[in-house]
Amino acid sequence: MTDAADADISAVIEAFARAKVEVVIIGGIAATILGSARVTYDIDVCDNRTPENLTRLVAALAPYRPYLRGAPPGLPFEWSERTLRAGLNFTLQTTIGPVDLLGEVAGGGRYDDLAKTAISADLFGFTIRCLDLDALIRTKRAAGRPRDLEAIAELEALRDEQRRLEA
Amino acid sequence: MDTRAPVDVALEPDPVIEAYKRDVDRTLLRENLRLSPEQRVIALQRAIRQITLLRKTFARATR
Repeated sequence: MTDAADADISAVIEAFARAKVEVVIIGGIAATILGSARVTYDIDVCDNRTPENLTRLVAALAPYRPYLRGAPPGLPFEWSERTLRAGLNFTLQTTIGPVDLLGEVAGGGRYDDLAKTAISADLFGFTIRCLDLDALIRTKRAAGRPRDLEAIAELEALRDEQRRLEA
Repeated sequence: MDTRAPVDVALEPDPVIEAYKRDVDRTLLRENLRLSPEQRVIALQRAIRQITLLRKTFARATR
């Protein structure tokens, strides 16, 4: 079992970028990239589910000992393409922090859908893809969780402020 | 179930969200909008480290 570690966002981004893993950053980290002031503790991505990309994804995170977050200690877990093909979403702990892999996002769809409107951002020497603000708000609203109401309000306020700057 | 959202549908204002928006500290957002995406992520990392340190310190102090 992998000991829980704090999110090392730059390490995760570097791992994905060096292995050329196709992901779109979603969730709290996407919000941070866009300007949110809220703290988030895990890194959520929507991954492209092609066999080639799953192979790259497995290779990218293998050095960081991915394990199912919250699973009972000692539960057998194989980090492999076969495991990823058997499920759609995985909440993982790694030695570089909690990483959530989502094959499909409510209100947004799969990687190909999100990639159409994703923005590019330069982080730590790498170019990453990230949901834009409208798409992020849409996915948060579609998730329909009461705990997201404050986050959605902040994102909508952020959009107002962006529009003020652009006007 | 098709989870894809139609891209051209505008999001209607939600009265509950509008109520929460009144309490959003927009000064923080304006500060963040002056930063690059990388600077924003670095600030988050710093915050996570500080929160973790505070939690550990509190845990030790209350043992």
